[in-house]
Amino acid sequence: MNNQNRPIARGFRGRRTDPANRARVPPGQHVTQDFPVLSAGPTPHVPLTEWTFSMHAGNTPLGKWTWAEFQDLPHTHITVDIHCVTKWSKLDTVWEGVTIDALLEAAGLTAPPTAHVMAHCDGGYSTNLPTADLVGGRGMIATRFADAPLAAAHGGPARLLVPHLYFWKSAKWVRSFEFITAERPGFWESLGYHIYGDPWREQRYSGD
Amino acid sequence: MATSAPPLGRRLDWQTVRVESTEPLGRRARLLKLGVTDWPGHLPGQHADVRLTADDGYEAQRSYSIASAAHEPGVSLAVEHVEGGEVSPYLTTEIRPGDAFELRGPIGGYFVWEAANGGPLYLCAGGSGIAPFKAVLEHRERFARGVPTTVLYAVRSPEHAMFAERINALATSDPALQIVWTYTRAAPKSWRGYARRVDAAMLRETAPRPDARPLIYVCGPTPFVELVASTLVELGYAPESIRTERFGPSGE
Amino acid sequence: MDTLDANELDGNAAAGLLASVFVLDATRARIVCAACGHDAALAEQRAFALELGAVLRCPNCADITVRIASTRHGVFIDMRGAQVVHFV
Ligand SMILES: Cc1cc2nc3c(=O)[nH]c(=O)nc-3n(C[C@H](O)[C@H](O)[C@H](O)COP(=O)(O)OP(=O)(O)OC[C@H]3O[C@@H](n4cnc5c(N)ncnc54)[C@H](O)[C@@H]3O)c2cc1C
Ligand SMILES: [Zn+2]
Repeated sequence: MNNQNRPIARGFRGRRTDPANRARVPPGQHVTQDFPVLSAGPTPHVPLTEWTFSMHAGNTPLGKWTWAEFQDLPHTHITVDIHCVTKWSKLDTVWEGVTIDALLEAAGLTAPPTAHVMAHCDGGYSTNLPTADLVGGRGMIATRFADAPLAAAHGGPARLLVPHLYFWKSAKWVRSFEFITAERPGFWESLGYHIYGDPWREQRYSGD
Repeated sequence: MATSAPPLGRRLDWQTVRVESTEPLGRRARLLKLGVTDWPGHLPGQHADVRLTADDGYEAQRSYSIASAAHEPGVSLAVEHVEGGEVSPYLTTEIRPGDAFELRGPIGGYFVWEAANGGPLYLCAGGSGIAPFKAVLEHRERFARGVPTTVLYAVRSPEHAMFAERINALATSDPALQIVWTYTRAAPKSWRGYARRVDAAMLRETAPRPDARPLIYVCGPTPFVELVASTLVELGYAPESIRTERFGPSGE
Repeated sequence: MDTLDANELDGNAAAGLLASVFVLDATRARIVCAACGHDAALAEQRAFALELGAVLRCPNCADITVRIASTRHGVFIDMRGAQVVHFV
């Protein structure tokens, strides 16, 4: 569907601001100052005393952390730009959490056991990623945003953060990693969204 | 196979509509009268989707109830100005007669009321949730005067009210139609009616008794709809007699 | 337990998207939840993620009944969460 022949709503701009540096924003994206909330379901509220994060491959458990144990893992700060497939980008967002590298190390692994992972979340959400995109400092389980505990509406207590891919890959309320050998589509990926989702190549939809 | 079967029915598509006129609705909202060329008519309570496309291709889409009845000319939308909103400030302050945008409608056959559905009717509106009921009331006035009807309309203050004059006028000329206002933030000085958020007592006092088996429609911001619908169920109204339409976070 | 999000909507909000696909009015269609058997109109489902399509959830148990995505390559609908969809 192209929008070449659509009527232009005279004077309509939306809530967008122009980035100081256009090259910093992927094609088709606009900068927003807000932090819009987009969820596939109601916000879950799991008490921290019941929260765990676990990893497995097939039937083999690879690691499991309670909230307290997770806090003891080495934490990392990052400042990154994030890009939602609904076309907003937010610049210079500040996160804190545990990198996937640190998680793997804590589990006694020197490398991801498989080429792909399915992240599973409270509320039944899932998303698939190549494990190569999670290591080398490119992915973390974030528990703090802008120097405060991550709000439940934004995925707290913990969300996946993979800022170089569209933000639906940064699954909110993440609870486990299922390492898989063959790639399998997650929640949106099985419904027409792109299997990989690189904003710089504008991979919004399957077939883009 | 070379034959292409004719379409079985009509899927709904976007059409370009032109703003014919606009008028203020209270101090926070605006009525947009749209000229439509391809319109099958609509039922009271239905809505339409609005799509705005900026000159650089950026687009935004929102839903608005149809505030006019089918027997009135054109199609009217009643849009409340939501502070910080993306679309409603444009529709209430920027748009002018002659401007064009896209509309997809009419849609939804669930949240509708027609004369044949009868009554008694109990309509609960929060803020801009009055918009679909405006169409219901115009339709009722024309085709079903006498159906016992109560409207409970919760607004922050008198200046937040939409269609106040028209709705009051409809009620003055029809003893079967009762309008109950509640001002949730600021009531006029001499006001003797309700001046609080909707609660169980207010619903019990204004709704037809459960044994009268009223048809109930609740519309407005999501928290308002949630509260009113669940309280009505607690008060003994059958869940299947309550129809709801949630507008999202805005307003009340 | 989940709490109410103010930006939660209901199935009515997906009516336009559904009307671009189905000739019959989908909001009046009855949906029997595959998880709990609850029978409700599509308009009565809880609705989320309208920016991406729609995720409809059972008003009784909150399990997903219908998922819809609207992309530039077409409309995708997953109804695995519905035992039956009854158009009336
Ligand atoms: C079926 C249906 C019918 C409707 N009918 C009408 C009608 O007749 N009249 C009417 O006025 N409205 C109606 N609405 C509501 C309408 O569709 C819009 O939601 C409303 O106009 C606000 O849109 P907006 O773009 O101005 O605001 P938005 O930009 O969508 O924002 C809405 C509000 O939420 C806040 N907000 C935005 N994003 C977030 C976030 N991430 N977190 C927290 N808050 C946020 C904004 O600051 C603002 O206060 C209807 C909605 C539905 C679903
Ligand atoms: Zn269910």
